[in-house]
Amino acid sequence: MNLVIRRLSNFYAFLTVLYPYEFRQDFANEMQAVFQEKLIAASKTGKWALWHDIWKELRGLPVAILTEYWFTFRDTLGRGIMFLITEDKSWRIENRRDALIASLPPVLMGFGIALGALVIWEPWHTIPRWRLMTGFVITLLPGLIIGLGGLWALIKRIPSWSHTWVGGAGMGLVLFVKTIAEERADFGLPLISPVMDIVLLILLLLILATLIGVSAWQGWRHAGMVSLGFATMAGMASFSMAMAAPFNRYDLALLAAPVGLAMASLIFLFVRKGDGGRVIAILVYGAMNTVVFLIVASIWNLPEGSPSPVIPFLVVLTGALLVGPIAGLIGRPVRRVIQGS
Amino acid sequence: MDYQDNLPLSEAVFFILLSLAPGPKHGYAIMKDVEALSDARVSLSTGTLYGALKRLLDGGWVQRVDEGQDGSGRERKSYALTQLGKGILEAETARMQNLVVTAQKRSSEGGLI
Repeated sequence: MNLVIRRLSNFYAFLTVLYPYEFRQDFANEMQAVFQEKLIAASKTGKWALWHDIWKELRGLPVAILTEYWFTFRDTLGRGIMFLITEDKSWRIENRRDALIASLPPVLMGFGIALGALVIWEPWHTIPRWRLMTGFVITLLPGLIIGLGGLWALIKRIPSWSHTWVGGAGMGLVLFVKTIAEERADFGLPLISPVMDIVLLILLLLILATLIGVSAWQGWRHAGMVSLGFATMAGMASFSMAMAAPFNRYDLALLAAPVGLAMASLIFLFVRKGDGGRVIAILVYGAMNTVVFLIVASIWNLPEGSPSPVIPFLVVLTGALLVGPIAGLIGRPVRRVIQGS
Repeated sequence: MDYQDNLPLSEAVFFILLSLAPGPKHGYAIMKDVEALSDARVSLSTGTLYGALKRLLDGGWVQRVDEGQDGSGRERKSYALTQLGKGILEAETARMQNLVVTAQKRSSEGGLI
């Protein structure tokens, strides 16, 4: 066998990697052998026949590969989307302690915000600096703990309890960076340029997309937990907005504690019960976030005719909650096609 | 089993089944045989052949037969028709025969253009 044929065979072997996992497990070796046999036979007829055969093979390859992906997807979808939802029916966080840890982020955030509100309680310029700073620290400390917890979970390769922490940390980072960027004027710093703002936003969205992508690879329930982490931080941000000047509605911020407890119960339900319970948990989470946001939005008293941020914010809240389960539903079959697992 | 449910066959599938009718063959032999049977009209690429074989295997029309190792130490696999595959090939052949007979009848009546 001459060098050209050997090289071409190796190249063809490399191309067969592009086929879906199951297909290449079954046929890649045979296909390489047949391709090689074909080239050897063609080379005996002459160079033209050899290159004609190579051209014919390569020309047909993209369609053949896409066809296999189509059939594999069709087979997977043929089993029905309900099968995907109910597969691994037994999945749940078995360990009660792990389930409780998974449910902790909203409790931490809720109680942090409520306690911070209790400490500050009055407009910031009317209270001593130490009280303001204590209130800030109490409010922000849970966010820092969740951030560190999320980081630790990433280092530990996202153990089962940690998806809500990872989601919370990701969304917390986004909100923190955006807030700092927008509040620079308050600290006498120049505002960031619109271009930089867009670059920053894209970077932050990429971080969130990566978190969702990685968890979606594990399935919709894992990605759903990350989404619950997103929604926790986005929902709790509503209470922080109520506390901000000029509204200073610390009474509303007290609601963060019971809402945090309710959110934690829903996460516990999500990680311990069946798929029906999970769907209910997501729906109630969404409804709760919406109600909280609408209550907070009612104190804004926007001037007549000014654009309302209510609809865009509700879209973001709902999107944060649904992006995980949806990405997970897509990610699982994609993983099966590519990896066969 | 009603073979008619699977008819008509695509030309490539028909020729692959026809190629396996005398006995098991490996991939390259099927390719060559299909080309010969179709007077070089149907020329399968490796990807097309194995895509078709996968679906024939999934449908239970053909089965794999291990032939042991080839010269380079690779496992060599052949494919053979199952009873279902034979039945479908016969049904398709009969269907096409009927078409031809019908066309010839009309032709003998002077109805064909």
